[in-house]
Amino acid sequence: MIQRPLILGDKRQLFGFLTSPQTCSTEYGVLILNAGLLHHIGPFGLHVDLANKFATIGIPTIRLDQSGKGESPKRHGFSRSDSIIADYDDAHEALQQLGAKKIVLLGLCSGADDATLIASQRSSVGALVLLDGYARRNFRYYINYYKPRIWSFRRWRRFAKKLLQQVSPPFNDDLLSDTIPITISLREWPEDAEMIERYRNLLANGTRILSIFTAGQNYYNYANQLAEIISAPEGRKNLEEVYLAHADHTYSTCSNRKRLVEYVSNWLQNRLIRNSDLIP
Amino acid sequence: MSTQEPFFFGPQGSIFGVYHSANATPKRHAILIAGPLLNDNIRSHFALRQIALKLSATGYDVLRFDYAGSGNSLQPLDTVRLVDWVNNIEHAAQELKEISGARSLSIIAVRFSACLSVQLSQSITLDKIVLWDPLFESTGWLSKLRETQRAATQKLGGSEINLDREFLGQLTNASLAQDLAEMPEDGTFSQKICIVATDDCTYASQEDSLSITIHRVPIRCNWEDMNSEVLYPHQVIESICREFK
Repeated sequence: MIQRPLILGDKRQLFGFLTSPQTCSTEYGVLILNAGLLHHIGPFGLHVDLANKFATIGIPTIRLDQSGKGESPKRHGFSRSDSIIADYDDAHEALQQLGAKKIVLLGLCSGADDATLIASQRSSVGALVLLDGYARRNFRYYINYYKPRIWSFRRWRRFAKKLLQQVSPPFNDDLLSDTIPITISLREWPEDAEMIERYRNLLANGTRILSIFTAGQNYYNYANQLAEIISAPEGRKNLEEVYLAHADHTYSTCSNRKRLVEYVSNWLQNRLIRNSDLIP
Repeated sequence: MSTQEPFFFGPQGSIFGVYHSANATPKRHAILIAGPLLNDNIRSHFALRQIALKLSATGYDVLRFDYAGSGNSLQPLDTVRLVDWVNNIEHAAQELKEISGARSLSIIAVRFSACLSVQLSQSITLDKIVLWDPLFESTGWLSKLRETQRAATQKLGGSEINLDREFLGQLTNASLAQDLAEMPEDGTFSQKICIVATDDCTYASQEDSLSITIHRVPIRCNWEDMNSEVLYPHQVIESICREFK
């Protein structure tokens, strides 16, 4: 296995880490984007686990630090979306040199959002693996959310207590300024109509999407919720959706990370490399 | 202008490091940054890189590195023993001296790295020792790791977790826990140290010591926690950099 740091881009400003088999056996290359502000290692080393696994099935991976994150400085004079695209172009060039013809973008949280943006503008992206990517609450979400709560006396008591008290949550200036939650304000979804259109176009154009949701977000709570929201008649078979109800947003336990890595690896092998319609 | 160079060094080229060379007026003084371990290393990467950039911009050569079993270093975590981590710091210090050609060497150590760097301070002369929320013994750290993992197991439910090996979401081996439990507790620095302490830590018993300076910063870092909040404690960063002005 080849493991080495890369400095990418004509200005040599972008950091990536390559994990590759000695001989690449597929036309695919994977690019893993940053999860929030975490660097290219990923939460609890998730990105390292993924890249190492992909190398065992013949796929090279670059774990990227996008501009302004990890080891990469910011691109001055670029808008956020232009910077995301420019970073992808630099990393894509490196993967092409390794023989990759089609790119799989993998991202968690804001990384998933960046992945769909890139895919909507670059036809070289052949597949997306989105971890807690876009979805939105719909009617069935609210039914699922409130049904168990309606019958819970404890929850009604807590609700009543909140109504009767005027409680201000403690505000700690230092806390907000000195730790940055992984999800804070890096998620800038366009309007729902635009996001849905984006997904429909990607699927219709043949982009394969694996969208995996966990219990660690507050807008998804049943399998196939995304498919129902997108309601894409064309290319529906290109979307696979999974709900890992026991996993948290950052896959903080070894067993959940292992399960995720195996699932994604099997999907890459079966859906992309073998181009099979069998569920992995 | 300082440059940033990622590379592998050490035994079989297995330790990953990032070297920040000094700017146009180098001080010929190198600083080794030994970050915290396990998940805290990932959370503090942003802050430690900021420290390295600031120090290299003022003329220091700086090396950050990933311990065995973490980051990009190649040895898998489930094969790592405590002696590997001790050796990592020594190899990193040696590498930094060689590549920088610096006349003097200092260290910034975070959390359990402070404990690991005691041996280093006994084998080489360190100009300055600056510690961020240091831990000075291993059994307390081990207890905290187990307690955090136990709480996470109950909260997540349905997850299979081996409490003897999995710490802060990462799988180690039972021998490492044994090493930590048996680590001698009498290691101390034989020279003056500076501690930058946040609300997570108190050193009341050492506040009157002539050989220790403590700077208090009123924030919480939530160390040894199963969260992925990126640490960006600018007051800590400034306090640490001020020690090298």
